[in-house]
Parts: sequence; structure tokens; C-alpha cells
Amino acid sequence: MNYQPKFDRRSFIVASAAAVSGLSVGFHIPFGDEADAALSEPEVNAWVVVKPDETVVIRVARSEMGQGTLTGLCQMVAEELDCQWSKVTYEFPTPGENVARKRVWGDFFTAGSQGIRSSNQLVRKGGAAARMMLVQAAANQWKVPVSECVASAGTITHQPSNRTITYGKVASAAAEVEPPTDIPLKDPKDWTIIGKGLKRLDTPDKTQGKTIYGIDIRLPGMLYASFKACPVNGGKIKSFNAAKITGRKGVTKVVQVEDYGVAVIADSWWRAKTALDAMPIAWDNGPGAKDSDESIAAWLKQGLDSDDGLVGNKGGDVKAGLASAAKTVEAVYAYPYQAHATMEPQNATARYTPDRCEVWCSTQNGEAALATASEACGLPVPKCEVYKTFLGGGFGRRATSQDFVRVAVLIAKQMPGTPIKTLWTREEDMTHDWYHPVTQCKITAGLDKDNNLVAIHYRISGQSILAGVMPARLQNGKDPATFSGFYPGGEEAAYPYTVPNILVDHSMRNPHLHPGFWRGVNINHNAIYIESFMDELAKEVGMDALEFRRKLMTKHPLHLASLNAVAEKGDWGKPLPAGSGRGLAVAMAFGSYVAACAEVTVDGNKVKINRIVAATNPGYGVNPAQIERQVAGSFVYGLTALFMGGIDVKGGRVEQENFNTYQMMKIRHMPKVEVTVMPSGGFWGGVGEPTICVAAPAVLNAITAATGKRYRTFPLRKQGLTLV
Amino acid sequence: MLHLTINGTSHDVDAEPDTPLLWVIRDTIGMTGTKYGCGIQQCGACTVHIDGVATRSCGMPVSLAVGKQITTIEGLAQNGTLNAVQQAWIDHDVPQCGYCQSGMIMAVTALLKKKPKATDADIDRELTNICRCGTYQQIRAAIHSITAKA
Amino acid sequence: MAVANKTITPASPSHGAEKDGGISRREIFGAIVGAGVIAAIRVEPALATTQSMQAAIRDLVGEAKVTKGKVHIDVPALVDNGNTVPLTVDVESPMTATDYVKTIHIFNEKNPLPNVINAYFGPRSGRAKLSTRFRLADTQTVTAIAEMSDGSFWSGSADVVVTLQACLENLD
Repeated sequence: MNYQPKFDRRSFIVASAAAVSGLSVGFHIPFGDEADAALSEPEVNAWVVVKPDETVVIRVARSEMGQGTLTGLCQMVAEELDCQWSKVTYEFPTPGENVARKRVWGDFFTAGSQGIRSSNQLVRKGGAAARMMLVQAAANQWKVPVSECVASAGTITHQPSNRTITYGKVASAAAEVEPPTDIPLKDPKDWTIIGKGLKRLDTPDKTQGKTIYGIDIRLPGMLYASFKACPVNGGKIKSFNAAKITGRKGVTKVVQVEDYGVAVIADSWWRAKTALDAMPIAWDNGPGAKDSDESIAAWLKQGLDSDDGLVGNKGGDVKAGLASAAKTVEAVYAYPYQAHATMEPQNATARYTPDRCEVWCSTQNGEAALATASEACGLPVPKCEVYKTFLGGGFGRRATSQDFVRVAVLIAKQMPGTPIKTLWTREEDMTHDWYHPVTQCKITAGLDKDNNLVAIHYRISGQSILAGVMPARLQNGKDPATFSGFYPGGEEAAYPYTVPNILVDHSMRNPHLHPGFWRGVNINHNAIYIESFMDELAKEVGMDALEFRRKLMTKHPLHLASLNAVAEKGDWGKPLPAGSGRGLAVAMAFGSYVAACAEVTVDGNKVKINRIVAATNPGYGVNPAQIERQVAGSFVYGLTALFMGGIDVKGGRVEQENFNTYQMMKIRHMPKVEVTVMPSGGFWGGVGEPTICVAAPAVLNAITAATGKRYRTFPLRKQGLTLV
Repeated sequence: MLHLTINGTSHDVDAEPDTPLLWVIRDTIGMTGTKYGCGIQQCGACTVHIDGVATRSCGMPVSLAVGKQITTIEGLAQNGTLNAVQQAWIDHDVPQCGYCQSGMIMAVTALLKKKPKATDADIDRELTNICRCGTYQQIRAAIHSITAKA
Repeated sequence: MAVANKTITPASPSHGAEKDGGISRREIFGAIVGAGVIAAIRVEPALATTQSMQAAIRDLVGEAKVTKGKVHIDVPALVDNGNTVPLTVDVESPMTATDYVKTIHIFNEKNPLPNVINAYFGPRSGRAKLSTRFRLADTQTVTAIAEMSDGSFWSGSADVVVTLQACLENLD
């Protein structure tokens, strides 16, 4: 079941084949001027190929970056196709093929926890249609009514006569059958493949170093480029002295990239990198150089009280509610920039000729990569192509801006005919990210004389991702994504509580760093703001944190169900020794209802997270084993950011360049994570992202329970706390 | 010319003596299983074995690897049979994006060779590879399944 | 600290003032570009829909029939972020004194206003061709309608996929 990237009939074997004991025999990479069909044959329809040996090749449009969507999507196709799971393998069609075939595979975009939920209908129908066509082909061959035939586990049976035939034998004929227009799908209660924790299809290769990521692409005649852009975002390159390095061994060329960058091209990446490091470069840092953490924080602080709030959620009359409250409680929180730090640094390989531009890369958005390549090189889309590899992490870095593609194409365009792999150093990657945006939040709440929460105002001040990345999506100047987790209702990110007077508004302040979508996006800090402050209110009125929430959640049964599940399994209310504490958090994000109960022990400034009990209700769960892994994995991402993360800005530059200063959780920090997957059916919620947001507030609430101290500014390393 | 022995096979490579072994393995020889994550020995994605010892190859000048037995991820399986760690990784479906796992498997293989009954404390102290997808819980369970049989 | 925003307000339309290949633009940019504080909140109409595009087309053609043909749209099938999309519309016509293209109107489904660009021609224009750049907020169909000197209407359309996507919850 080894995945082989697509090949065409004139494919080239990777160079230096003699030494490569590790690469699969027959590992091909598409290379050449011919754009003919490189996908497997024969195709029953765009989604399914059945080979004569009964191997089923499923076409997968979305990217696999660790979240398991590859396997999940294959499960969905296989379910409706009714083939044997053991025969299933996969391949990735290219975005160019998608365009040429009028987007038969739909959207290639892989983010927003959408991979399964937005394509489930499309891929299931693809599998079902293929099955119907196979059955029809068998019926035609036997000259019997199709209604007398059934398909199961790769075999078609004519029930009255008990004749059977396998898919592989009728696949070619099936391709000639008129595709059905009415395609019924199985009832979820009849699922035998969807809903099972099946082993991932990509695991075996990943245990042997066989998986090809963008960084691993090797092509005949390929050169390597190392690249640097101005250290301050928005700045430009003034000059560089190529003469100082062109004599170095292996250095081929030095090229400028637009007005902000420069690259050295050489016959090995190390030679390119060291040459670039040795080359004198003068930068014009631009206006961003004036900014630092202090200036950004001061500017954001003004936004906590300014009159430019854009309203996200409004109910009742908060002003009146607060004015008539018996008691008001107020707090200010601040959450910093965060880097994506995918394990595989940004890179892309590109080859440009005046007739064709090809790119090989790790991307979450194959079509954007294709559009970017076309725009960068000036050739129309049909003359361009992108070959998607596995990703060494995405987390949103590779979803939106395809800057790594643009840079690679612009470099390759300066040496037509030569494939060039442009690989960013970790330092370049970390300092040229599209960061999780910086925000602060001032929360003012009003309690009546019976300690009921009657009014609450959340004022968010800080950076808008949409304003920085796609201003066309602003609505009347407002960034709706800012209010994730605060929506009054709906199917995506609804606030968990009923409060008669509520106002959530945003003073938009955009510093010069590029903002981007970082796993979970705005729910990360919003869940902290909401859930940590809920605990503050509970404490203020002397109520148990769970009881205080329950009172406000009678109209939010699905949120409440997840919260109750973690409270119960997490032993909420049972005694703990001094120095230990538990904390709760609940949220809805990306369509799923998630909650966590964390238990910590704090010794001086050392925090040990003992255990986190998590629950997620994603509606339907395609692969519960993968869901568990996503939940636990997302906690690592979120807690790393809370404790050790935080991107600092000085003189406009990002200070953290590598893992020595932007530190990461290791296995010793990992708490025991127990996950309850509680799909209630009836909707499709996401998995890759939602749960990340409840770990941090649950842990923060647990720390406060253990120590009595409340933390409102992050990362915690700046508050003297260390995760152990 | 530098003479290297990788997974039992000889290679003559033309590289500057201070080129990190990682880049000779990946670019000069073309074995891409060993990964680049940071270049400063912080993440462990580049872990290989030098005479059986887990070593972060991004920090080792290739000249120092001459005359040693270098093992990469591609050389762990013997005659098509995965080693115990690789098999446990499959049994527990450990990898997510998988990029860190070559280095992780190399580090765990070396650890278990040294300490076949490695305890949780041993794991905590010795296994410092970074996994951004956060597969740590499955890694620990997979290691337990091996040490339980040792 | 704050970099002043550049808010580009729509230019007022001027109809029919120019002959012989003149172009009247109603390009709406509608976005805040660059970093900095939003100094004023501009009120924008709700996004156009297929229905409002149909209504705008009906406003133009009245009861007349629109025939598919003669109008060729050249626009990239995929664009990354839609901020500046090159568009060429070419209409088959002898462009003689008795048989020429009077106007080309571009419509879209999802920009703030459905009627994006209008171009005016005459028999001396030589060729009924319009090349410009415009902005697309989202994946949509672009329709061009040519009004001929004999009062007939012809149309062509093209789909454009805007690939820049947000890792967002479904907000609509």
C-alpha cells in the first residue's frame, strides 16, 4: 500500500539510484514537458480506479498534514463503494488536473477543520456512483436487471442465480456506463467503515523514512536555493554584494527576489546557505522597524477603551445592565503572537520554461499554489502545474499565503529550464511567518444582588487576520472571524452561555507583522478570555466553577453535554492534595462542542499537568482513533504556546529564530490525556482544530485552583512559570 | 573525497569536511529519510546512529563520520523486516504528519538498545525530540509495548 | 505608530460621455489595504448575489432577449486572492457604421455591486475589446453583455475560482 507520487510514461528515476536503499523501488516523480494523464488507470469515475488485481485507488483532493484526513476521506469513499478496505490505496490528483476537468474533485483547500465535513457529500457520492456503475456493468454483462444485483466487499452478486464477479473484472466496462444522477447514500447506522478507528494508510511509509515531503523532492539537474527576505516585515532590500561569494565552490547564481529578498543558487543546499550567510546585504527595514512589544502593547491597550469597537455579538443593553448591576467585575487579558513552527520548514521546488511552470510543494491549498505559480511566472494556469506532496505540518501556515511557492517560482524563473529547490532555513521560517495575531481583551461583567450574571462586555483589541490576508472578506470593515466562540448561535462557534445583556466588540489594530491562521485561529485566545473569566466570576460569587456555568447553559445542551462529560470523567469535585487543582473549560468551534477538565500540581513556579480529560462532539466521527490523536496532539500545540511560546518583537524584527528560544513541549511535559468522542449525529463538526482551545483555559483555571493566583498575560514563561 | 559507510554501504562523497553529515546524507547521497528541522541540534529530526549512538547529524561535520558505522532510518529494517520500534509505531498508529518520526524512531531505537526496559523516567530524560503534532502519548504507549516484552 | 489608512472611495460613474473606445469605470475597491487603524467605518451594501446580478442585467436589457455568443471573456481560471484580476472581453463584430458594438457591460455575482464595468464603443473604435483589471471577492461567474447597434444583446460568461481561502469557520 505504498503511496507513489503520480508518474507519467516518460518519468525519470531519481538520480543517484545506486545508493538509495531507503527509497522504494520504482519511485517516480513527474518531470517532463508532457502534461498527459499521470493518474492511475482505469478510472471508473474521477474518484475511483479499480485495477484488474482488485486494488482500489481512491483520489484524494485534500492535503494530508498529519490530521488523518487522507485516511478519513478514503474511508468515506470506500464505505459507499463497498470495497474491501485492505485493497485500498490512494493518490493525489493535481490542481491543474482539477481545473482541466472542471473541478471534478471540488475544493483542494485543507484547513478550517473542513477536510471531511465540507467534502463528505461529494466524496461519498463519488464512491456511491462508482459502485452503482460497477454494478450496472456487471448487470449489463450478465444481461440481468440491475435491481437483482448487489455489491459487497468488492464483489457483485446476481442474487437469483448466485453468479458473482469482482470489481476488477468489470472496472473498464463500468467506466463506459452513464454516470448516475440520483445517488442515494447509506444511512449512517449502516456504516461499517466510517466510524471505525482504522489504521492510517500513510503510517507504514512514515515509519521507514519513505514518505516524500516537499523538502525531499529530487529531480534530475536540480539546483538548490537559500533565501532571505528583509528581517522586518514590509521592508526592502537595498543592496547586496554578490561578488564576495560568487567564487565559492558550487555557487551558480545570486538573484534578487522582487524588492524584498535575495537568493543564492548552488549545487547543494548547504553551499547555498553558507554562501548566503556570508554575503553582505543591506536592508531598508521600513516603517515596521519602529515597532516593538512595548509599542504594540501600548497601542492595543488604547483599544480597550476606545470608541471604535466593531460589534460582533450584541444582546440586550450592556450599558444599562452594567450601570444597574449590584457588583461589577473587570479584568484585562493579553495573548501574544505565535509562530506555526511546522517541523518541515517552508520550501518549494519549481521549474520554469517559457512554455511551462511546474511546482512541487507541501501545501494545504493546491489550487492557491497553482494560482500563485501562474501569477508569479506570468504563464496562464493551463501552462502551470503543482504536484502536492505530504506535508511536514501545516497548522494553517501552508493554507493561505503561498509565499513559499511564489518565492520559489520567482527564483526558478531566473534560471529557465533548471529545477530549483528553494528551502528556507528554520530562522527564515520562524521570522517570516504569518503569525497568530496579537490581542488584548477587557472584560466587564455585572452581577445582580443575587449574584446572577446579568451583563457582560468583552472588548477585544488587536489584530485582524482577514484585514491582513484577505481584506475583501471584511464585512463593513469588520472581521467576523475575530468573534469566534462569541457568536450568538449557529452551527460554528456559538457562545456557551445565556446572558441577558451582552456586547462583544473589537477595536481593530493591525501592527506590521503578517497575521495568519494558526491552528484554532481566534478561538485560542477567545476561549481563554471567556473561560478564565468565567472562573473569575464564579470565584467572585463563591460558587463552584461547574455550577456557575451550568446555571448559564440551560439553553446550550450540546455545550453542556460536553462539559458534563469531562467534569464527570475528570472527577470534578473530588478532593485533591494541597498544591493541586482542577480547571474546566468549554467551547464551540469549527462546528464541534468541546470541553476539558485539567488537573495540575504546582510546586513553586513549576507546573506539572497531570491529566486532562477531554470531550468532543463532532456530530459524526469518521475515525475515532484519529480523533483521539488529534485532540491530544492539539493540546500539545496549544499548551506549548501558552507556556513556552509567544513571539517577541524588537526593532520591528521577530526575536525568536529557532527552537532554542521558541521552545517546544517534549514528551516529558505531556500529561495523560483521556478523550471521549461523543458524536451526537445530525451535523458535521471539525476535528483538527476545535479542541485546541480548551486546554489552555482548563489548565489556567486548574493553576488558579491550586495556587489561588490568576494569570491573565501570556506566555506563562514571562510570568515566571515553568512547565515540567 | 570522503569515504562514508551508511547502512553497510560505502559511499565516496565530494563535500567540504565541515558540511554537516545531515546534508551529505540528504543532498549528496540522496537519502531523504533523515530530516532537517532546525539545524542547531534542538529538534532531533536529523537523528542518525553513529556506531550505534543516537547523534543529531545536523551538528556533525561529515569529516568526523568517516570510518564510523552510520545508520539512518532507511537502514533499520533488516531484509524487509521492520525493527521492533517501527513495528510498534505501526501497531499504535503513532505518526501524524510523520516528519519528526524518522528521528524519533532512531532516538527510541538507540534508547531501547541501551535500556531495553526503559522506564517512564528514562523516556522523559532521554527522549527530547520535538513532535509538533504532539504524538507523545502514542509514542509512550508504543515504547511501553516494547519494554513490556523485554 | 499607526500608519494612516488609504481608503479608496468609488469614483462616480460617468455615462456615455466618451466615444470611440472611451471607458467609463465603476470599479469598486472597497477594502482597507495596509496596516493601521481604521479611521472611519464605511458602510457597504450587502454583497451582490446571483439574483441581484440577474436583476441588474434585466435593468439593462429590459424585455429584450440575450443570446449567448459573440462575446469572449479571457480571465484566469484560478486567481490567488482576487485583488487584481486581469480581464479581457472581446466581441465579434465588423464594427462598421451600420453594424457595431455599442457597449460592453461586465456583471458579477459576488462583488458589492453587480455591474462592475461598462465600456462604450462606436463604429470608429476599430475593435470591441476591453482589457482591464478588477477585483473579485470570491469564486464566482463573470458575465459580459454586449449591446449591438441593432439593439440586440449578446452574452458570454466565465467562472473564476479565487483560491485564497480562510481557515475559518463558516460565517455565512
